[in-house]
Amino acid sequence: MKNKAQENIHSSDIVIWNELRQGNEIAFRDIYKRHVNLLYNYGFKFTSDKQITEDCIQEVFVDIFRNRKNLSPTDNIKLYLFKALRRRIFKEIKKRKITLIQDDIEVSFEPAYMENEFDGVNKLLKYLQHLPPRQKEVIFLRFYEEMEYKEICQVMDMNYQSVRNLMHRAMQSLREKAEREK
Amino acid sequence: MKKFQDYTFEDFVNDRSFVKWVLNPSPATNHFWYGFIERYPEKKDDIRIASKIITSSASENNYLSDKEVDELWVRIRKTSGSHRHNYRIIAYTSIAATFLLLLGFGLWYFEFRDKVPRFVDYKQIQIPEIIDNQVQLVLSDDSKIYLDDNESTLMYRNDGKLQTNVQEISVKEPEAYVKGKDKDLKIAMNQIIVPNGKRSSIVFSDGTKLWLNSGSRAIYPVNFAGNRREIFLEGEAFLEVASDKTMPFIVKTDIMEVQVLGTSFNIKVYPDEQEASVVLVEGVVNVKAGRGKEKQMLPDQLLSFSSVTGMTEIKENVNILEHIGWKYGWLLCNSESLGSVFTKLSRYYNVNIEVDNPDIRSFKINGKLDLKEELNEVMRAVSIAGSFAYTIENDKVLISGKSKRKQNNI
Repeated sequence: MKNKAQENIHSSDIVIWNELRQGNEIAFRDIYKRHVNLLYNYGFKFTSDKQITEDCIQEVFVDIFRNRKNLSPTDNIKLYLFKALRRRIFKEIKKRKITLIQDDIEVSFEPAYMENEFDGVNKLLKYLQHLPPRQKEVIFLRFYEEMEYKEICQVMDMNYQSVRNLMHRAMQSLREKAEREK
Repeated sequence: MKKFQDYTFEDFVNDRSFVKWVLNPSPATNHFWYGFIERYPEKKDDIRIASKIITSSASENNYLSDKEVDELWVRIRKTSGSHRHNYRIIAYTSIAATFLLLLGFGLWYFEFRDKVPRFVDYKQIQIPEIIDNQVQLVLSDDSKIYLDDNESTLMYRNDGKLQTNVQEISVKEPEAYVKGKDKDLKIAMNQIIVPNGKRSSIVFSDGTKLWLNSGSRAIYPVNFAGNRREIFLEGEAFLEVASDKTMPFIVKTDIMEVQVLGTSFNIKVYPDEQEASVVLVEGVVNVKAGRGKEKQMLPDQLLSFSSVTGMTEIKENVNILEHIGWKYGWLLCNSESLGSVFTKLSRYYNVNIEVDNPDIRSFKINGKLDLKEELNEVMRAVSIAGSFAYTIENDKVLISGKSKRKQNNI
């Protein structure tokens, strides 16, 4: 599960982010170290490609430092970074696919779900994998990253109702499957 | 608020405390939920389905290895321009300077080689009395310069001149060695004393930067010569050591010695404190503390040494900003005891802080204190967080009152 050692009190987020805005390179490094693997874990689920994920993370951080003077204050650095990475990854994926296919691209979200050790091969897992990408992403952010709905709205750039609907639809389909598992 | 017994399976899935129990059960939460299921067996199915969905949603982790994290960081620094270039420039000029020196002074050096002192006995160097609580700089000829600024900066330029932000001093100290009273050669040393209430920073001729916190002093050579750069320190300092592979930088204190090649770290050895520490920001250092063996430190580590037990401990992944905030003029507290905060404030502002109820010292606070504010403003913020009352009389702060809660935020 999630590495509990990476949780931090939010009030230090405000301080550290402000230090970054003023050009404090130690704050910059601290932010990187605390978030790089969370971001990698999230980004990889979109791309399944280490190189692309690393490149996008690199661009997010380079951008942040270069534009540090124009950043607005925040009390939730993780949220800011998730949102920035998501945007960057979508751009990158669409850019690469456009050279091959001209159609409207839907970006996929592919977590490799862990086998539930108590139930052996869990058929629920298979169905999870067949959910539409945005439903999968909502589930990941909610249960894995333990984000509040309002945070998920910010990361996925959707309004509250749309996010709730996504979750609702996912839950309904999963429930049907889970009941059949009895 | 909807009660748990009226929850649909979807409500369970959306309930924070339920999700937490499923993903991270504890004896307390197990006791609650199993008890709940016993009292409301009709909810068992909903709970089972909800748990299944939640646990199935746990996906595999993809992580970068430590090496990959470091390599990516190097790329980020280079591209974002946060990579400092001044070390490289300094290295080139110092190589040029060394070369010239050899040409000009080659003969001189070899003639006096055996008479050149290698070791400095720091204990023999007198500590001058503090006058008017000013920062004092003692030059190699024992003459003294006083700096009255709260934050003074000194810069040793390559041409031998010393520049300060407080006043223009063009003291020329180009010689690395001076003739002592008994006509033998001594390494020309300067000593700087920074009393409580003041801070000072020095840039050495090799580009190394040293920030000194209140209540500290340092003894250092006017020019780094020979095969090492060595300084003596008492109190607390932050160093950014200019990279030089030919001359390791050594910080000597009463109880520990830190050796570096080129790196940034914070070192704290106050004579009135039991615990000494080093926090490494960047690079690699070797620390020899007390009678123990030399220990190597990596970035984000904190090494603490107790002069009482003689034991050394290394902590990983510390929040560096908590330890070096003083360098920027603020204090970042993360569950820090008031006792520790009072010690730091007392040094920073040069005041005595007296507490009528010793229990107050163990109360913990979180948050950031801006030390550039007046003492009264800072005490007000701390007193709100710490739930105590205080009065300021001349140079004394008197703290009174009992604390009820265990922890609070500024």
